[in-house]
Amino acid sequence: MKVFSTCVTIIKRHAGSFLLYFAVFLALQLVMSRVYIDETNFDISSVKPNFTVINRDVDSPLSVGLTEYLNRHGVAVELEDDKRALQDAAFYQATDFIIILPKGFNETFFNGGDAVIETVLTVESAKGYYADRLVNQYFNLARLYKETVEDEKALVNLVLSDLMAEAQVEMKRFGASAPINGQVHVYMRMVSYIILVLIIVSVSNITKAFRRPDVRMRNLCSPMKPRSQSFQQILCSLLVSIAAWALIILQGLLFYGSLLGDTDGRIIALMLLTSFIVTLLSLSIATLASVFITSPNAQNAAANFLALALSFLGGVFVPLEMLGDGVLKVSRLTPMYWYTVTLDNIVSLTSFSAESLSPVWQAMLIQLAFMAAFFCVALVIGKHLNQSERAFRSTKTELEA
Amino acid sequence: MFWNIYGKRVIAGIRDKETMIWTWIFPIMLATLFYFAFAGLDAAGMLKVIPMGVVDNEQYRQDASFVSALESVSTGEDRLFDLRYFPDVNGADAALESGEIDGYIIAGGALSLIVKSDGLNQTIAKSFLDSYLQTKNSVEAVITRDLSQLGNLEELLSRVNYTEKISLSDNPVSAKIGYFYSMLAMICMYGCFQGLVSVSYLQANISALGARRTMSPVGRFRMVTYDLLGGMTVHYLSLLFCVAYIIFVLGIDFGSKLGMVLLTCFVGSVLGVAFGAMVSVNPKIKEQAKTAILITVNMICVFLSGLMIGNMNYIVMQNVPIAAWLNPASRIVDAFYCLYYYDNYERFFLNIGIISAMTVVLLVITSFFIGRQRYESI
Repeated sequence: MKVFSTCVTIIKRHAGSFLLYFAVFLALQLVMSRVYIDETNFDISSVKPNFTVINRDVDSPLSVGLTEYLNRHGVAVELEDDKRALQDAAFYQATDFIIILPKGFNETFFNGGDAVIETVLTVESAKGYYADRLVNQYFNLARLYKETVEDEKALVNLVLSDLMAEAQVEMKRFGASAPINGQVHVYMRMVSYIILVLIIVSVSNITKAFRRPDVRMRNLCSPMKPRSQSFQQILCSLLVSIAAWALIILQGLLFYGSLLGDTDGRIIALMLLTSFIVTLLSLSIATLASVFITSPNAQNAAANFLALALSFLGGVFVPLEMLGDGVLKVSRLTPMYWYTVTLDNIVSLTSFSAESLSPVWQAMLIQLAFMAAFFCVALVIGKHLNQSERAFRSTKTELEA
Repeated sequence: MFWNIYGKRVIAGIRDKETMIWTWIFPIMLATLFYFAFAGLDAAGMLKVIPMGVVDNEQYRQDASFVSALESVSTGEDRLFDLRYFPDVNGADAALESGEIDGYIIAGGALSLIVKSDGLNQTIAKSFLDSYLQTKNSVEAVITRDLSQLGNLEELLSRVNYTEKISLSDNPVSAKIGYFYSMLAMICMYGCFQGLVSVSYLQANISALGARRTMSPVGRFRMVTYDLLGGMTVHYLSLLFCVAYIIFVLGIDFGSKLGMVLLTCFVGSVLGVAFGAMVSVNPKIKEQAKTAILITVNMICVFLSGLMIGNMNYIVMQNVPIAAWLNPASRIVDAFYCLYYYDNYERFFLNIGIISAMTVVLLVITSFFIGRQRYESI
């Protein structure tokens, strides 16, 4: 196992950059899954649009009541009444809905005038529509009472108490498992990206070192068969890939393990299985890519570009439903799409009948088919290159770089 | 001498295939990817008609006011619900499980909404039922207080719209344009590879060319300055190419201030080159390690400027403003944003000033160390 131990030495020498990539991506991943939570983990009673009330009128029970009511259903985002601050918040969607109570609004409202509230919808979003409904509901109820109740404070109390009435909501569970937490789902989606980058970087480090012309010439005249050499290289790559997978899963369990308490063990097992399959798939992509990688620069370019491109197309960063139909047609031809589909199917499983599980197995098989195809192409191209003079083309490692 | 060094550096830069891939082909491919991936982004959170069911039983049909309220929001172009009727709960359950509807309503004593998961559509459906119940209760309460209001029943039941939408800027809010800004900031920062090459070509222990040049009669500062200018030119060309591709081929609207967009690209790419030069100036670090440092720092900067999450720039600005002000990629993104969204140049030029100041600091540090390097004991 000489080749294998050499591979291990190579990996050890590059452990620093591997860990650096690992740490940076993990930090990004954690930030991302935390930021995404607002978008993915709604509770029926707590879809909370962010709203901002800018009161240019006097502080009155009516305006205070509005804020109190909106606070029950949304999250107040404090902003100064400054055009710049409002523009920034609108552009970056820090708030979904800005409500501007103009000067003299209170008086106009109670004197039967044409009271108009200016609103800024940051985007034409459903959340903005919801916030708009809430504001109109509040003022419509206040309008009902204003003929019969003279005291403004009493009126607002009546309105706020009427606004407590709510329809009953029943959440029907068709499966045995509790729904997967949104953070876990996003983390698992991102796993494919970081695994792909790490594996491309590690595998290409190994193959690059063995492809240096002088090393190749030396190895060609050794008594060890090329097949055995390749086998040991692949074995080492496989072990590194499994180590990367285990590290990332452990990290995930450390951060999100507590969120999995109610989740069915079979769902967790399926998620682990599909993440393991995507690790093997990444290994096959890395093996194919490393056939073409001959320098550290090309290595970084391949790792970053391949991983970004495949992840974007596969719906790792942007959920699949947000991709256009045209893109989805292309996405279906890329491997990471099938990982995301498998994961989405697992997350939305409502039972474990053969019928419900069949789309999950199907998507996993497609990933395995992609893996087999990439390995075959890598072998064919590798063999072709080995037989040609290009096998001795300049290959730079960090020694020459 | 200037044209000799500068011209050769430009030619060498254009012939360097690997850097070309990073700064010419990679951005074009990324821009194309963004274009397709984010095609539906601005419409993603928009309200769509909600598929909703209702159990069409006796109790439902008897509640005439609810039937009319529900039907009024389920008809017409701007309807809220796509309503499906089910004779019993079992049929509605089956449709809910298969995902045909987001939820269903059971009328009767108390209104109930049955859903299988949480989501905005379900919340909006609930808010419709809530407002129906609340309005009904309030109207009853008003009439109990003052029976004469019974004559105004129609007016009481009508709904007045108190809100009027306004816009804060001439250009529409767009989530996808932020991603393109971050990508351009990333390409500007990729100028660091040109800076890296320029300084490596000058270091006797890093490259053979460096050893040769250290012995040449031209002064080190002149040599590195001309070389860096050559690197900046090549890099700026790649940015021009990318901006032209984004605007003319992909048709992304950057607003009307194209000249200022190009100025931002220029200042940003000079900053990128200066950053690469500064990292490269330490002769003890190997080239691969330098590349890894550059890529890692770039990745962190562009992540915080919003390449992966659109509003990250704003989140950082609100929570850790110092990090946002010191992040070069954030300043570049903010400069683009000011051009697109603001009607004056005040903050734009503040950003340009900060980027320029960062560049000067990086170049001063680089020149300080280059001047001190000696190779007597390699």
